[in-house]
Amino acid sequence: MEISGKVNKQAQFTELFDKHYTKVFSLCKGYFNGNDTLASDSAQEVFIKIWESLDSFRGESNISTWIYRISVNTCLLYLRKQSTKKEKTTSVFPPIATEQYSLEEEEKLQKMYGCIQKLEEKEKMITLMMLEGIGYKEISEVVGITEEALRVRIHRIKKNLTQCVQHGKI
Amino acid sequence: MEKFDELQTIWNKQSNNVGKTSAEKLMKKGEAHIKKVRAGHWGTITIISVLAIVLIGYFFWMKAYQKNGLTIGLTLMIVVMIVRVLLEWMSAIRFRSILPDIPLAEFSAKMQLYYEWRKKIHTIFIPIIYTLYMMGFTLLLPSFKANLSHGMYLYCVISGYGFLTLFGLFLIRLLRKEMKLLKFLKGLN
Repeated sequence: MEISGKVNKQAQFTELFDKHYTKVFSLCKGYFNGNDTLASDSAQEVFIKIWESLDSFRGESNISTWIYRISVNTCLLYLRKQSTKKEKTTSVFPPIATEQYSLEEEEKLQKMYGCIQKLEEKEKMITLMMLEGIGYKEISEVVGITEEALRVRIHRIKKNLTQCVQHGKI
Repeated sequence: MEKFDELQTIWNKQSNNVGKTSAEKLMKKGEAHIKKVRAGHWGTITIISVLAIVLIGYFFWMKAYQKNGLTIGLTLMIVVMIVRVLLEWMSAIRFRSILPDIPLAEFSAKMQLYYEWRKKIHTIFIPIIYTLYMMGFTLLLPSFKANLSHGMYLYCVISGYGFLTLFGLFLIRLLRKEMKLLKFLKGLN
């Protein structure tokens, strides 16, 4: 009985990993100013927490909401619990040049990362979830504000982010 | 929002190099972490129990109850050590009770409360505990001087105060780190 329970848990975890790891990684990457190493470390920490807490998931929310909550809360405190040496690495934006980007687009993407870093922590998380295509209802459940309040915030964020990429100021 | 849509398109074009990991590796890490937490929990209890037993054993071996300075010194050290451990234990239980799967607003509020409680420990209880421990150790010194060789006595004095100084510096560093975190959490509201 115990063995089959463990096998079920492993199968469920593998499914969650396959479905959500890339999105969690992208969220963390945005939060850590495009730093792949920090994104990878924190995304792994998120999934370790998911493994540890999977038994306690009661289905009170969507499992994706549950995963994003763990992701947001983990990324938020990840660096602050680490050494200051690691903390400094977020100020360095790593090169992200790929063939998919024109020079102008690459510059805009770098500016986007920079502008996101200028936002308040909550807004940063909202922006990143929005950019990752997570629905408003789900974002509001992850952050803990009403959907209405979220819509107002997102409207403002979109405006500010566009302005910031264009003029460098929020 | 035409301009924002353009930004969204640029954002979506990113190819993420997610690194080399797998569900299997993370399950193993998760299991190892669970074991580490349990081992750490029992390790702390074992270390503290051994220390308390050694101090209590020394208390009776030296017939400390017949000597005033030694009695007070050792009693102080034992009591404050037990109080210190209980406080850390309570902190650990409290910290573990804050699950990361709650909404961000609730999570940050709970974390803020936790670090407010840690601030009280660091600024009220720890200085009292530290001072009493230092006093307890100082009260033991006449007995060390009378019972140990001069070299051993010097070693006890230097290592004892040296350890207490280093430990004090460590506590100050920890306090600064946790207060920085508290400030950050307050800024979230």
